[in-house]
Amino acid sequence: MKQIKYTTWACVLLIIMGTSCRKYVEVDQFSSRTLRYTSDYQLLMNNRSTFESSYILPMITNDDMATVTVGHQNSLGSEQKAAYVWAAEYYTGTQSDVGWNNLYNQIYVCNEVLYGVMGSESGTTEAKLSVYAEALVQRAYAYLSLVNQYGEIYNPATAATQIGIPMPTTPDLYQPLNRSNLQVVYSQIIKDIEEAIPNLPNVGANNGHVAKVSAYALLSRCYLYMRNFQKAGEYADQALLIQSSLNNLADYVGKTSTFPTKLKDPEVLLSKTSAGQFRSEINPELIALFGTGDLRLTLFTSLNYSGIPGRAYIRGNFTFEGIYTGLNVPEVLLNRAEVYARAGDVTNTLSLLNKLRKARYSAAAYQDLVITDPAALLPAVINERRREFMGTGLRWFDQRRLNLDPGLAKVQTRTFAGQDYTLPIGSNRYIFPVNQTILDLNPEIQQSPR
Amino acid sequence: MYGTKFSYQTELVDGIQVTLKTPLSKTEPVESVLKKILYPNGFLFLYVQENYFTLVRDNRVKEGNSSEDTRNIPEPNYRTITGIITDDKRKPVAGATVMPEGAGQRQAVFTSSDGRFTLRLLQKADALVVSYVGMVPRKIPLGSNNVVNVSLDQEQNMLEEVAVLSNGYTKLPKDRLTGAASLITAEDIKEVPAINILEKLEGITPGMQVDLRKNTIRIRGVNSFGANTPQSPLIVIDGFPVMETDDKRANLSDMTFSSSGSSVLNRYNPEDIESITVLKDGAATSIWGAKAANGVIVIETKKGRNGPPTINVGANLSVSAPADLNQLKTMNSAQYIDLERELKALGFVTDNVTKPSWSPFNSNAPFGEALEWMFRVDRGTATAEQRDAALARLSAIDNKSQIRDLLMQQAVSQQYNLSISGGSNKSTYYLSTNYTKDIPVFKKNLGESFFINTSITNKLFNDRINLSLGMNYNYSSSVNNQAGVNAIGGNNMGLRPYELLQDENGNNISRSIRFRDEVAADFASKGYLPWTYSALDDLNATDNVSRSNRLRFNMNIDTKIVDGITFAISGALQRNLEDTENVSDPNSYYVRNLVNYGTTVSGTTGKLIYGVPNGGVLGLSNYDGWEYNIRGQVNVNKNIGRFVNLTFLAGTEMRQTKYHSSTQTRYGFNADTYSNLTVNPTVNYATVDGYSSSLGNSDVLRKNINRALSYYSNAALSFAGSKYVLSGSVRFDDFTLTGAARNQRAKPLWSTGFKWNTLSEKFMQNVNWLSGLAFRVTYGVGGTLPQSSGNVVVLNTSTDNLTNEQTAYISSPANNQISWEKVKTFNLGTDISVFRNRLSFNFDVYNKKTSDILYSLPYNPTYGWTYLQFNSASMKSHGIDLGVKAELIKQRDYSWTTLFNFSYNTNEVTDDRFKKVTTFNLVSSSTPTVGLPTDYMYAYRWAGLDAKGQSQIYNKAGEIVSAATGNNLITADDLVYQGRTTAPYFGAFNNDFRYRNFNLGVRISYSMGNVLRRPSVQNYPTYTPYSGTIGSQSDLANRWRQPGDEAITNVPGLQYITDNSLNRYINSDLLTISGSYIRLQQISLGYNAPADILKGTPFKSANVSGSVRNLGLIWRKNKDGVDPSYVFTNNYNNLPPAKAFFLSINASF
Repeated sequence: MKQIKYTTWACVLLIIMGTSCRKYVEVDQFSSRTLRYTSDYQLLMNNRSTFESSYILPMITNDDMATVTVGHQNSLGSEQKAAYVWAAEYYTGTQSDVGWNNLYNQIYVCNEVLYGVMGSESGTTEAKLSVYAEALVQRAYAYLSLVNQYGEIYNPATAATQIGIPMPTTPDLYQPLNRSNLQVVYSQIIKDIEEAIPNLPNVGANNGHVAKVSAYALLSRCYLYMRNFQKAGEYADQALLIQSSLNNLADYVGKTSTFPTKLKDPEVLLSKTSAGQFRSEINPELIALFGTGDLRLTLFTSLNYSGIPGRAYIRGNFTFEGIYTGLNVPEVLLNRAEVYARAGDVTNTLSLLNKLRKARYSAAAYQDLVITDPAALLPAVINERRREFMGTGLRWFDQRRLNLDPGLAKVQTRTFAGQDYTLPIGSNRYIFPVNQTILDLNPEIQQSPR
Repeated sequence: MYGTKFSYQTELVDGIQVTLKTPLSKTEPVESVLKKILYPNGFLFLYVQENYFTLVRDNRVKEGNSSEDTRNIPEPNYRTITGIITDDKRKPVAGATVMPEGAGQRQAVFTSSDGRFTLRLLQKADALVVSYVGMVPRKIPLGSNNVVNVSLDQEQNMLEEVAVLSNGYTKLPKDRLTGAASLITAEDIKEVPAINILEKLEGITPGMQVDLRKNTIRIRGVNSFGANTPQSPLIVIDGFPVMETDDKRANLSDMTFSSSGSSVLNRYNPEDIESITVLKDGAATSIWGAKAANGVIVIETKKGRNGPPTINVGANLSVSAPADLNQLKTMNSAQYIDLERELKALGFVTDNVTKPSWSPFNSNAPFGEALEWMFRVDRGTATAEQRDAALARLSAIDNKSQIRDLLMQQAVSQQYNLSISGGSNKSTYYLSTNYTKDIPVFKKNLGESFFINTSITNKLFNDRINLSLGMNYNYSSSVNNQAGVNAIGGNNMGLRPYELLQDENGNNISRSIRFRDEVAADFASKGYLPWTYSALDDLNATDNVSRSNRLRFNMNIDTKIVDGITFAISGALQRNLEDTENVSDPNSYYVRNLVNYGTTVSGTTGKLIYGVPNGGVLGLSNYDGWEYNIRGQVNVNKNIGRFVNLTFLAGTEMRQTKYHSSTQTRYGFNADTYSNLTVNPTVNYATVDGYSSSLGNSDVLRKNINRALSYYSNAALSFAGSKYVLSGSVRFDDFTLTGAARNQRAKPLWSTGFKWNTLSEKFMQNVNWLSGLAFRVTYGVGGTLPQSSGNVVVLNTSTDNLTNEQTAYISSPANNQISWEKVKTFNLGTDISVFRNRLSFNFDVYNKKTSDILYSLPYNPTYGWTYLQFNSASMKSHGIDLGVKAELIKQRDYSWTTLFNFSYNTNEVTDDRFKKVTTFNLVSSSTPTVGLPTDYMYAYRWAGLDAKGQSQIYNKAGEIVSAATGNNLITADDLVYQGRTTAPYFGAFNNDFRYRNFNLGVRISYSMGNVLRRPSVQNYPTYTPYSGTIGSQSDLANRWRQPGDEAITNVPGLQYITDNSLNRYINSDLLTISGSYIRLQQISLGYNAPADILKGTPFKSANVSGSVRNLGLIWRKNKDGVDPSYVFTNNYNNLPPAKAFFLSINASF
């Protein structure tokens, strides 16, 4: 009996040691952890290196740059050469499309946040909603950016049948990636931003964070691309009500290194930077658009800079923080001006344009712009947008949508390596090709129309 | 009674069957049971000590056989015999049995602790029989002499020593072990009198590859090519794993020059090691489960023994000559100057005084003295005659002797040991301490360590409970200074062959290494710190000290529950505290350069503006880790029926490892007041060349916790003695793996094995020459837990240095297809011994298949991930382990023992997703490729130089491809496969000769079948203007200079050099050399003082030994004079270690 007793005790001890602690190994680690607390999700949304990066291809395909020197043409990477002539394929072999990859990575992180933050621990509903709202807007930004590169040019009449982009809205790594049509993509973008706005602060803790002002600015951009000009104007007004300050370039003549950094720049509404640079000479046609005393030309460009022939865009080298491609006050202002111009409102258009121009010219050279013909307003605004957006790639999105504006739409031509290339109005080559390696992995995405 | 031991002559009980009238009563004394069994069969048993008996044949005349016998009762013969019993080393044998021949056991006496006996003969006897466990019994005829001194011989072949192996959980006799495992005893370890334990283990057992240079051990090759998969074996000490297997933090000094390495094993005093068991196959290792895929090394430390106190003292001294710098294959001064001359003539370097390039400061980079003279002539500040005289003077200089005398020293290692052990029936103790001091070759480097080890065992509560306690403390510190290494290195602190360290007056020479002399002087005149460098000055200006404290406690309580069943609770607590202090004095070049570079002159006041505080730099790092293990285990050892024995254990254990660490850098440090200045490391400051810079925040804080929970069981069934043994084990591990569900984390790992000891078979009875023949077959699965992926999102956090916000990124997504890596091992083995164990073979063939290797594979970036980790890759490997031990000569006075080890291991990636790289990139590729081993190497087919002195290679069609041909026209098919870079064949050949008390050991190691690239030229300029250091390899002197040279050299010339030309030369098959070698590792000579010399002294034993290590290569396959073990990219690492002389003295009393 005694032996049985001992054996029983020993067994009981073993069992207690073993089974009491299934949870024993499930301890939280310190630097590597799962998404559990609301703060974990907030940390994800704080990460600028995830969300700041945008694109590079629009900076090559737009008409800001024109490379003419043979030596410089030869020095370009194969994907830059292909994009420059709007070829059928850009990235080949093992190259990866950094713009696509970055933006879809942002979408993945947002999806992860949207999927889990409302069920997270140790956060107030308010805090959860705020993180949720931020993710909604960041995802909308990425979608709007992607659909204007890899989707068809939005046409309000046919959007429901136009080819869009894959639109995963959950973090599932095995879901099918069929493209949604433009109608679906744009309504999702608008729905997301509108849902987010009530839970956002007016301005963010810093320019890396989404706020009401950037959400309005994004809606304004979105509606402008959708040709819903009235709404584009309304949301531009909303944004300008919160933030409308401009940097006076005259203050920085001779001391460009003191330019405000992207997080402190009062013009910036949401900080985004290009995913690399296209170092090339600026299109002479664009240079010709600048008037005398326009400091954007004298400060932001330089002749024979670091091996680039002709005049190069050097704004990105002031603070070495990349080229700003995000939402900013001048863009919103110009959105508003364009809407006024389309409505033929001379006074308001000029008032806004001159507000911007005053901050861009040297005081000595500045003169108010005077236009009396309402028909001349829109081209003036578009040219102002061209000057203001120089080097940022934003021009490409204008070029796309202006295809639907008779009179502003025009055939683009380029000469490269002795050969002429043409981009006809409304061409499918306004749609970027999808990297073949991506199509190989998920053929359901289908190549963009070529 | 549990724990009773017997020893007997091997053939003694063969073929004898006894029938026991079972059941036996539990209370019946062993003696009475033995009487019942043995006496009817004509055997006797002799009592050796408690629970220990020797069985011998009863040679007495059978009593009561006939009436005659009773009549011949001998007359009483009262007589007293005295004497001393010694062993073959003349050491007294305590406890030996001395018995009158033909008399009963009751008349036997035992020798006392000094080997003496006194026997009172009651009857007449013709002879005495003297016996002792492990020795040949002797019969001594009794004359009239009443003093009989007897010397007994050690006998292994008659009384088989049962080797007992430990797997960390239990101890098993070797004949019951089905798995592949080797035992290394304290004696084996002692035979290599090195201070570094890895040197002791090198070549000692087949299948184990020790790399002294990298401080690594591999058992049976590698099992995975996954990024974070550990490759090192698990190291277990006294039943519990050591805290970490790969030492990544504390690699203090280069192994080539420091004799006590930084391997984990060196944290334990080699003198305290009782045995090391190397577990190799699946059956042997699977008891350790998820960490055991790479093999297990089980170390048992020494315990006290029942007996009077024994004190052991030992001292070791190792001295090695300064490294032979002539072995560095470098150009002499004249050749170097000639290269500089050609560089200038061809325009690779241009005078930066007269021809400034775009950056004003780059143009101020200094030249060597020779180039400076050449430019002086161009500038008109010197004449050609002056230049030629100066160059002639420089050409005659060889700075090697100064480097050796001023920066290097004799490497000296000292080691002192002291241990005391002993015990009584109820308790034993073992205390030891060790101090090691290690002075490596380079000056101002030092390593010290100190050990204390205590082990106590106690029997409590009427021997029902065994309690053992162990405590182990290790303190080590090291001082590290890089000035010497830098002086012969390739960076700008490296010396040109004509640059001396001291002038003829013995003053240290300082040189400008960032800016030209006059620029540096100009800065100095403005109040900057001196901007010149002297290796000798820097020797005293930096002080990098690392210290570590390691504590380890372990405890074990076991108790017998019923006969054959014991229960044990054991635990271990380990704590590691480490700290590093790197002091850079304000006078060190590092600090002066840092401060000067961040100093500008104010445009308004003309005063200096310091961006970096003027003062020393102090780097601090701390590590604080601890680990506990708790284990509960039931052991069963039962006979089931007559033929079956079951040993079984089952247990559960839990482990937690926790650490936190920090690193920080402090500026403006003052060593006298031990204070520093507060600096904001993110603030930008202006630099001398007009850029802005910041110190940058290098501070790191880390904290981590890991837990594990395991259940395990191991069982062995042996039938008919140990004729057939069937074993099995299963283990279930559950680890902390952030986010993974339990069914992903914890999966059972198992093994099974079978062993057949054929010698116990009837049909083998008459094979007399064979003394052992066993076959083993095992199969087992070991694992490795995925470390970097799971089925939930894992975050890594950091701080945004612009916004100061905490941020996180998703380091791995929720991937529900993640599980373990698994290694399945199939092992066939045989153990053969012949001629009374004089010759024995251990032979194993194994086959391993690794599946589910966690590898990052391309994924669709549209899901947010360009690469995703999957458990899907696979590889396989196979190999052979052969160990041969031969006692070629075995005589009383002399013997010759030979040990030969041979190992073969190779592997192959079997996952066909790893397609062969199709471009020229394959030549430098290390990506896994299907059908190739993990460490393959490709090369260009060399076709000689062309008329312009540039590389030519052959393509697959045998056509010559010039250097002008672009790489895009070269495909993988044009390359040629060279082989593996790790040696597939390796082993050792050790010989021990003994003559009386002298031992001579010769140890030879070999490694064969791998290839490597011979570094030929480095830092060879391929563009103009060239900036940076120029290589000094001797091959550079053979470069092509003019058309026609291509007939006599293969080294591309400077004039038309291109990157392609240089790369194709460097990666050509011309420079592929064989890594095969045979190395004379050590010759040692030892002397054991014989007992008669020690008689009258307090010493029980004394020995002295000396050895010479690193004797160099006996044979190498390559014809280039390269020692394949010491080929690296950095110049100084090419040096093979210098010969080391070792002296060791040990005594016990």
